[in-house]
Amino acid sequence: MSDAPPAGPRGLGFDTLALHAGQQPDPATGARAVPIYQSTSFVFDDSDRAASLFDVARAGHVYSRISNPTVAVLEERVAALEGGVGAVCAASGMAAIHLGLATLCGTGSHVVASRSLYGGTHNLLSYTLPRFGVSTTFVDPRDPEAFRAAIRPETRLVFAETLANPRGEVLDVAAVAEVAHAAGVPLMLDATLSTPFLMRPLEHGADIVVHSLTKFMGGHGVAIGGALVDGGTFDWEASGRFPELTEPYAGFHGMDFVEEFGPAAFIMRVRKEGLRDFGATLAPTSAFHLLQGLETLAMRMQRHVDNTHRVVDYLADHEGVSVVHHPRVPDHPDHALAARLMPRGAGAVFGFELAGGRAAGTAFIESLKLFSHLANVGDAKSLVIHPASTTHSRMDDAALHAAGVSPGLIRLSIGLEQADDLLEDLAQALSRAARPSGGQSADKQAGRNAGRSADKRVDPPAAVSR
Amino acid sequence: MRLELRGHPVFVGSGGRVGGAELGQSAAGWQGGDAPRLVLWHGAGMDRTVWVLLARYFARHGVDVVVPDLPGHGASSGEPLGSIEAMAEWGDELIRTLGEHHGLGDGPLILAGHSMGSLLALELAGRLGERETPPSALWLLGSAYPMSVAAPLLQAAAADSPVAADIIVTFGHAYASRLGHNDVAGISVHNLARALLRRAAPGVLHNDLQACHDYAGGERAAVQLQGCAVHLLVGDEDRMTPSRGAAALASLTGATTHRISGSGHMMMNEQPERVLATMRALLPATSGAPT
Repeated sequence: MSDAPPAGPRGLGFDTLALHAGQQPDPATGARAVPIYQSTSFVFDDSDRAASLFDVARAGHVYSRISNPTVAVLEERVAALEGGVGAVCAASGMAAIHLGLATLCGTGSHVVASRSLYGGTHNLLSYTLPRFGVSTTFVDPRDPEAFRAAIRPETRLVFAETLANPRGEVLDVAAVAEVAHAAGVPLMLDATLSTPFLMRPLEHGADIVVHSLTKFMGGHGVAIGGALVDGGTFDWEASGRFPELTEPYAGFHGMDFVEEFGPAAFIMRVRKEGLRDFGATLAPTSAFHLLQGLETLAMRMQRHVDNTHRVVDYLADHEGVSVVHHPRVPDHPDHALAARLMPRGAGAVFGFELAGGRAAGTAFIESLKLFSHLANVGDAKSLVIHPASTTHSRMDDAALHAAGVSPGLIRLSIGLEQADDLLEDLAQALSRAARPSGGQSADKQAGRNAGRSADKRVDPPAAVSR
Repeated sequence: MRLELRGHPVFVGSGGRVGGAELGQSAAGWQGGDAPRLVLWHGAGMDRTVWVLLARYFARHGVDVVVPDLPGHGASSGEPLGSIEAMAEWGDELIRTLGEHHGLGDGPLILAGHSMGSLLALELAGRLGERETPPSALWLLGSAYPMSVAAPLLQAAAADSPVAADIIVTFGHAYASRLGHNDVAGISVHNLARALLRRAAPGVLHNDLQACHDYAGGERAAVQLQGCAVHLLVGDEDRMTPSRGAAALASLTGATTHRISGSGHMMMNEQPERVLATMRALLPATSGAPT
């Protein structure tokens, strides 16, 4: 008989959890879909139950700012998909990031963050939190030693994105987690663009995961929401840096969250303080919409990355494109790391640069017909934007440069359309962007006036056949 | 609270600092004097936090709640104790120490334990009975006697393999709990149990499981339980301590069996409201508590 330990039992699969986790058919009505509990508050059976709920001595819902049955299904489902002990949903991804930061930081706290971040996160860390006494040092996400060098005694967490845009930086999660843990601070990762389908950061050493559910998790561009997931892995007591979790909290009956909740200390404090006091609550109807999307996450993400691979391969070989910032490209700096951490594909949001610079970029965007020019990513529909004038517009030139955003950079979010149709649209727009006259606006107007016949004049076969 | 026992720091929870109540400072009036003492023992590889809601509930109702982390578990240091008998001896010493030095009263004693903790509670109740001071009540949750542990689980635990936690998590929960819909918003009981087990120091889980497997003192303990009301709480989908073993234990101890529907082995987290309802109903009958 072998001395090797036996293989573990098979857990429920990702697709099954995406459909079922957190929900049983409604016991009152038998409803199979998750009901929308559009109620601000919930009746107490008696005064004893009321008092017990307020003291966290019993389980249940009190007031929808703090918990709600529909939102709770989404929270438990996201936690299950990420492998976390629990999750709290918030009104947006930014609200979730703020909840995480505000739970762990206070005046005098310090954050070490990747310098390649979503523009909103960059704003929060660079401009808003300093007003509340929280400072941030930004470092190169590809250099774990830079994270180590930036950590100070007052550092409370390391923050980064699993997969950044528009340059497609992939974080070496295990390496940065080792650096953070050696210093006694947790690693909090924004995994919005990877989703748990492409990578589960907690399995690589992250402690807290945050999502903008608005993007691929919801996937249909109909609801704003965010989630914060606690891996239950970080030892707050041993760290010694988090009295908010390891000492009695006067704001909640003297509760010591680590004493009471152990591995769930962080996420319980997020709910009991963060949602209670900041109130950035996710609406039940939004949770319902996000759950509808989450049910098909696996199928959608596979299609997103399959389509992305077609587009990346096409653009990388196009003479009008100077660079494609997607880890699929062999000379991308994170090509090998992405293949190891995200073997299914390194996401569906990436940037590329046109050889013609800013003017070509403008012409390209205005020539697209199927891609939608808007400020979002992770929709079922393909999207395009010019970061320097929109999502990253509040960065000064130095910050833009540090984030790798050049004036002519175009960002794509590849959707679920037929890949051939996406390639056709890209081909005609690239063709127009390459025209020396720069008369795209007139061309576009002419095309509109001519209706569909204008589209048919586009000559894409060589591109589409790639 | 933190105290020292046998030269090692020990952590003993008290159901939170609800209303500022400490041990021996009960908030409710009790028939016949002191408030009941409810000692809650955790299971293999676990710690006090598995009792959090129940402990807080009974504490805010004036019960002197004692929720220890066994040596080598949770926030208690020291080596894990190698047998159920050794755990009971340590538990006996702890309760005496709490009474002599930390204000624990003399009210009716209820020993409650989950899984390994239930064997500890049984053994300790037998010892107290032998000294003619049996507890008022013995509440055994997720228990069986004998408590045989399957060879693959022991083998995985001996290797400190994460597979051991995976086995317990998978077989320790009802199917519905694996899918979810927790009473506590946003918490995955499945993943919480795994995280707790994976926090155990190397060797602790195997030590505990082996202690359960080896325990053979149930018959001796059972004959000392005169005057002690024994209640067995059984999850109706418990595959870790299946109903045959639970029935044997009930027969041995004269226990009244209470079924916890929709629950596997991890009933305090899987069905906290149903477990609470059962324990709350038992409390007045066994401790003189006000209804």
